[in-house]
Amino acid sequence: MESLLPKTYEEIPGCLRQMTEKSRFIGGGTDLIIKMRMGLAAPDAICYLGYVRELKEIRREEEWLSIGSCATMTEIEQDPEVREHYPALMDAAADVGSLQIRNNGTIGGNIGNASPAGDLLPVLYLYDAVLEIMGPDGVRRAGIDEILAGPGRLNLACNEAILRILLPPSTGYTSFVKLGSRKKVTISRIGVALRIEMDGDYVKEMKMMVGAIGIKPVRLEKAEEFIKGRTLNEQNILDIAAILSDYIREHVAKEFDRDYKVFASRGVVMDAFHRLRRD
Amino acid sequence: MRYVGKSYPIHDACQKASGRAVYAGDMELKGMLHAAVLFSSIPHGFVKKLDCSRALEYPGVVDVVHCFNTTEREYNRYQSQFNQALIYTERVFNSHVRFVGDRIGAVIAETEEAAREAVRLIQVEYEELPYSLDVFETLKGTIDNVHPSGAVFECTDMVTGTMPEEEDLVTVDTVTDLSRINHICMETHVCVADYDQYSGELTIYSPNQTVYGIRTLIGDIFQMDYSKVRVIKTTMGGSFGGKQEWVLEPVAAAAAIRVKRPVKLVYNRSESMISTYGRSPMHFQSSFTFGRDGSLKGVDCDLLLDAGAYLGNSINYARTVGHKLFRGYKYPYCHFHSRAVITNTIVSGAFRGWTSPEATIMFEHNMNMGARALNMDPVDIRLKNVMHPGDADPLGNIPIGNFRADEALRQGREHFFWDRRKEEIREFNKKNRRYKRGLGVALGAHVNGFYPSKTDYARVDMRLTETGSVQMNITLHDHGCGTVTAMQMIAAEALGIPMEQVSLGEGDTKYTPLDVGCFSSRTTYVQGQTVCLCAEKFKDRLKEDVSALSGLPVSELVVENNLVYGKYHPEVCYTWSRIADECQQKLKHEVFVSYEYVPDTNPGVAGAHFAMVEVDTFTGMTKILDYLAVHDIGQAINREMCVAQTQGAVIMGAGAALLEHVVTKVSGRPMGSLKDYHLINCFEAQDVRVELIEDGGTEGPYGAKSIGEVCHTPVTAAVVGAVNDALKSDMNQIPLTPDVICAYLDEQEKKEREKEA
Repeated sequence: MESLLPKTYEEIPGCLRQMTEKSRFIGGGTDLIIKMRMGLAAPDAICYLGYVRELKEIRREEEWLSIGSCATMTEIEQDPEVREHYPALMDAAADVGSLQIRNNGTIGGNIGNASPAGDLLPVLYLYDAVLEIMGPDGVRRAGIDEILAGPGRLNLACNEAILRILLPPSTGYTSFVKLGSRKKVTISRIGVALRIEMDGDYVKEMKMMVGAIGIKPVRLEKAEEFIKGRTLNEQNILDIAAILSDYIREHVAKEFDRDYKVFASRGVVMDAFHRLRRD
Repeated sequence: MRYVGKSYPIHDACQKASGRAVYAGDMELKGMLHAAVLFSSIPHGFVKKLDCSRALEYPGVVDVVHCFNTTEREYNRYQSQFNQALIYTERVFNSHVRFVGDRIGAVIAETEEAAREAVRLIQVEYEELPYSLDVFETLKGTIDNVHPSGAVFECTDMVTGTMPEEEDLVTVDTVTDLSRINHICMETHVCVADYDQYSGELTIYSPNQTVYGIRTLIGDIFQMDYSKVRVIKTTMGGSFGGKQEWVLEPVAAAAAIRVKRPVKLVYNRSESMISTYGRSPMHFQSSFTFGRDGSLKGVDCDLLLDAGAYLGNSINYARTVGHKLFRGYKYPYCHFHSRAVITNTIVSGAFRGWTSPEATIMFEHNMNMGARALNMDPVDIRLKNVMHPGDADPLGNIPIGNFRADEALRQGREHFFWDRRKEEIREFNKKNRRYKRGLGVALGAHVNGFYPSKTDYARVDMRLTETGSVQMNITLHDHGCGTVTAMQMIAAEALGIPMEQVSLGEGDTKYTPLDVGCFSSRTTYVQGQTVCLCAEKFKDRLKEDVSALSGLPVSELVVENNLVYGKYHPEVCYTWSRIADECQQKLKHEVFVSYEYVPDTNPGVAGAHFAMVEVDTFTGMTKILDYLAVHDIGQAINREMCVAQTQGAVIMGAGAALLEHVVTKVSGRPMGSLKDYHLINCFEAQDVRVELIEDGGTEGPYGAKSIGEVCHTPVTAAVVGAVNDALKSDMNQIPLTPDVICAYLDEQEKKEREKEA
């Protein structure tokens, strides 16, 4: 197995040219190394981009927040810009695995792994994240949904790398709550990401993305429509939870813990709305 | 007392903290090879053909041992005594494979990586057979030919006492289901074996609970003289019953004998979870009858125990559940029936408490349901029925001694603010729709050794060195919970010398005395008392020697603080160092005693546990808000270790109550990963308050009794009881995962909706 280790931005295209269908990118290795040990992955080459300084950085670029694909969960969670302007991303990053995992695991890896339970994915959808991608011949940009194809699959060529994640300005209140099998160090069974803009006591607009209930994060448009112009009282929130329950009942197969998810949506939806208040 | 009852670090704490402790997995022997096991990928069938050619060609591979080139002598992994009457059906490698994870062969190679790679290259051709993944499927006759001895084994059908003929009795009928759980020791299973072809001696290094048990089994399998099998107990990273049946030892031995070199075998987490053993799933149907005043009149209990693919200890285990029904409560009648049933799943075996927690989960649930039916307080119904000092275990009429269950329950009720909290919780639950709180109490009881059901005895030797220290020879098996230090404390106390002047090690069949192993919470009670009595004999010996050297009569000599002096002639004063020296030079002998002790008591030991939980009725998540464990321990030896063991046991038992189970997929493939098997982790581990009732009065050292198993006995029952109190539910299907709780609540909501409609 070959190791491709570009040290500078300029060295990346050269490395990408050497990658084949069997090659893999490695971020923190928190998934790939386990797969390799279990014999489930045997790449001919692994490419690690973490030595490229620009890809570790989180910085403001005019109206965008640019997050290098090699930024770790811990770095994202602790970044002041993220905490102030993209708190749902902080929520999601802070709840990934254990501290040891968060110190290694990267945002690029979370996208690249494309797990239906990927913690950051619903939040990246929530904020309309744009990915900056480099191929051997140049750089392009695409929305997160164009790139995410399904479980473990991306619409990227084998020699294309995610360099940066760009978040447009966010308005309103946002939050993310995940429900796992226990409180911490757990894999998401439902992840709810919310963005709300208020007009006085009334909801002007809501965006609701739900993770771990489909092959990609699901946008719950029916709930978004329902709440428009209404207040955020308990009954309305319970009704949103009921919309999520109905969706799960219809769309999730029984062996993916459907019955539990149908029942438990109420709890996670209420928690997500509660967290919008940040108190 | 100088040492007993105080707190000291375990003997190898510094080595462990600094990384210097050597576990079997750290060992390197000259010329050592590594083994990796080939496991069955089907739940039931025959291996028709094995093609090892590609594996043998793999660089670094030395040999492959498998079901067609290794002894076919059958054994039972639970065997630890000579001529033990057990059903023998397991082989080192099996051509009739009976579960996903059964051993077929092993590759021996220069490195572990090469061995593991080569295992993947072995081609196995199977003939598949019908399989059964649960006891009810087996009872239909699906796998009657799984073993020559059959698939269903009657274990016990016993009646104790007579059912009182009274009117106005209240009966509760319940079903209890326990899932399969794993010990999840920090150290996975490891064994190193070394065979010297010139001396014919086989040496086995393993973390285990009885070196002599392994010696016996290995000697029998490989038809070796017992004196040629040497077993050395290595530093152990936890056992919890998981290292008292022999799984890796026969494999490593077979490999070492085959290649005549040392071989190390290390199971990874998945292999340890799937291919060693776990606690058996159990299905209880029980019926408890109470008088109107809450007095328990009769117990009727039927148990189906899922033995997994091989019998192991299951027949004995299913019987022992019956023995555990009489250690805490007194009642006139019991009928207990049990069967062990083979399934094509992970083998069942010992788990901390050896059926005490399992019996308690069933028993205490019935006590709770009885209290509910009678509108009684759960603590009161227990106090009404609990055994007292002077009572006896009706099986064999064994006195339970100074058994303080009553006091533990009363003290716990007070210190847990039981009565006040009951009121507070009633108010809390009235106000809260989403979160519901509940209280649980459970009484757990256990034993102190094998007496009288099995042979129990212990031997300790003590020798005096010329520098005045004492070398103790005893067969210990420290699991990591401080046995060595506890024995050192007892010896120092009894000898009257500083702890650092007592040295001792662990089991080694070549040098340390015959011993029945670390089972049945016998170590402190039986071996500890042997240390005490040996120390007394040792001091007598010192007096005899000083008498011979000084001419003073033994009766006038005093042993105190490393000195032996004349009561009336204080100028005749010998340091222990001088005694050792002069004994060698003048009397021509070593100062040495050996003492054998045979216990003739087995008092009860009790723990009353109290749990307060909060259940999120929207997500099914349960949080333990407060926990108190009150233990009747007689006398704590190493106090903080007793407390810490209890705290660890609470995390373990609470995990069994709320999260832990090994899932087997319909294909027969078990989930062997901590990704799927959830323990309570440090984020959710609750604070556990521990109180010890110490009023001695036992035949143990300084009045001590056991703690290691009894502290795990009531935990699951207490937590389950609290959840059922919170939800006013009657669930006893362990674990009460969020899924189980939500399914129950969903069912209740549907019922209510139907009622409204």
